[in-house]
Amino acid sequence: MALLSLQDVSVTYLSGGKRVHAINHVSLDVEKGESLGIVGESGSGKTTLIMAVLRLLPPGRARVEGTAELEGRDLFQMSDQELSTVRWEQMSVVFQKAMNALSPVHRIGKFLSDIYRLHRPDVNKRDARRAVEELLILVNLPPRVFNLYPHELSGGMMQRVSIAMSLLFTPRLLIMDEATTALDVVTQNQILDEIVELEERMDITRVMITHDISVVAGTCKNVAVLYAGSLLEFGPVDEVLVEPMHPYTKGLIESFPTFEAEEREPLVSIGGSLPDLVELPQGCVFAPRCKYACDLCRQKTPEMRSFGGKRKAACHFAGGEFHE
Amino acid sequence: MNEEKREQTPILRVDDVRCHYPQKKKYVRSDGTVIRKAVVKAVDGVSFSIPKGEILGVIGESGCGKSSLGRLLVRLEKCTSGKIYLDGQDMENLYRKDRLAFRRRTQMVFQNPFDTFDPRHSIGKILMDTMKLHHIGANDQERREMAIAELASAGLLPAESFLQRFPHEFSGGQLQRISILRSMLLGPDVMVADEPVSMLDVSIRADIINLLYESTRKKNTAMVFISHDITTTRYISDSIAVMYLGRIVEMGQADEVVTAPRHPYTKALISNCGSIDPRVKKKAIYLPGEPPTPVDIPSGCPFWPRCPQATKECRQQEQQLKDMGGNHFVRCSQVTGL
Repeated sequence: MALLSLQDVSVTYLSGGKRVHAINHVSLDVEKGESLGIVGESGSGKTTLIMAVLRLLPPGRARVEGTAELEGRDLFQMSDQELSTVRWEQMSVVFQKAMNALSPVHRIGKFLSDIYRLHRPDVNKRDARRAVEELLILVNLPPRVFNLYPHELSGGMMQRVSIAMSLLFTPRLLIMDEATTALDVVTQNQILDEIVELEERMDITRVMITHDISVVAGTCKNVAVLYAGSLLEFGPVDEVLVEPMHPYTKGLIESFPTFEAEEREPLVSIGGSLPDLVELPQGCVFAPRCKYACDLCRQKTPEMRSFGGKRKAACHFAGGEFHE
Repeated sequence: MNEEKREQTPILRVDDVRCHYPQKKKYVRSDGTVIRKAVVKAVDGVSFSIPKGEILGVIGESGCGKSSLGRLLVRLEKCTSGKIYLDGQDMENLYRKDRLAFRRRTQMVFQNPFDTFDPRHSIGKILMDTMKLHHIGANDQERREMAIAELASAGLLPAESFLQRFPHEFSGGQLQRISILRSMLLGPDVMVADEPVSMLDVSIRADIINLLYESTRKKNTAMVFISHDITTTRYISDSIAVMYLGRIVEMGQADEVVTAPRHPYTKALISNCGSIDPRVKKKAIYLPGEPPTPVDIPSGCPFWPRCPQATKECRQQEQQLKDMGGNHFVRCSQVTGL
């Protein structure tokens, strides 16, 4: 059984009489131990998707459909009480701005041990402190951080505190929403290495949102490519990023300059911009920007098709020939 | 870079430039000691020169002073000490004598295209006012035609319709293109691009990079391309300077710096830069700690607290940029050249 299984998830934001179709019929499975990277441009619905899974979307303003099963239990149908036992303990999240995730008026240690004792009421203060200090060491922070305030820490240290917080109860699923994007390359890479190592040691599966494909290439097993709220391609990183099937994935990869290239190959970007999510185009969502699009693409929405193993792509011509 | 080009006066020469910001508050170190008159040494002794029409990439972590350096080069910030020469003439004098004439020679493209324009001005006004101010074009009609031609050349079509529209109607990529057009209208000698693509989506970054590259090449404008993205910088630049705590630690031809770095910091920085190809596995060099604050720069080589090769000498002796041959300069005691 998949650790997290999304079936036909759609999210619609209701805004001023308009319906914004932020996520459209996304289905994907996250197997245990197979970390997933979700990539896409800004506005492609990456954050909306995980906010829906975390049940953090405002109920009146966003309509969530479909099912999201975490170890067989549907997160969308859970009562608030059940949910509060699942959050932190079985699934936790690290957000992009660690600064905003921490309380500015509490010392790091107090903040973390309060969360710890909320879920473990029978643990006394001293044991909570020990548990928190162990965690800080785990994420390569000096124990003195316990007595510091967030403003006394650098961006990298704060993000490490956020990660420590998400690991308080060794969750099964760790969600990271652009968690290392704001950091410098050296710090980012070091934190990512630490997380990959912790995952193996503590049996955690990670779902990571980013717009930086190199981060996914280096740290994830599978990759999901999201565009305008639709899942366009899914599969193992070694296959999707090396031989992309969907023209959008191909375009994304071509628009990155590489380290390995000997010659200065001209960079190719994808023309146009994201479609209006209030009125999605008929047919394939990517057709207006796709250089291979034909009449079929503009009329009929392509189904997600399997191409052996875990690979899936939603394009009429995936696996076949493309004609400009 | 051929010999002939070397002989010419460089279009931009920076000579031991410093930019210090005095702080109102005192600075308390983690061990409790206090620096009373704290000074942020954002740029602390930078020298380099750029030949006409070449592109210098400046890379480094946040807080290393690369943006402050960029602002010094277009005189948005005054040098605390040191001199910058534009085509052999002292920039400070040029600036004092005639600001407009000076602005025609140095231009800047900023990181955030949404903040670069007056939201109440149409794109037509934005472009045509710039021309009018700098006496480009004989009359409004001619300026209008030039603006349309420029927009069309950057692929902003239909160009006429853009003239009446306002900045909020455009995407970041389109605005950044207009920002580049506006700067290049004046045919500057030097262009400073400070993280011009970091706010933009990956799928449109390539267009902006291509436009910057082509338009500066066409007008033989030298460019300083400031970025933390090493792959993009290598792609666009002729040479690269690596900054750490306000100083250049390594400088050389772009390919050489990226493929064969000599300074331990450059080595670490590049080893930590991921590839989009999952088949490429690199061993990243681990750097302990975080970059120290530019208020409290360590004595000696500022990199020693994090350097895997640091010796006693590094802690005491400040290093100078050493010529390694082939226009490659490294500031490290452990690297011996020539």
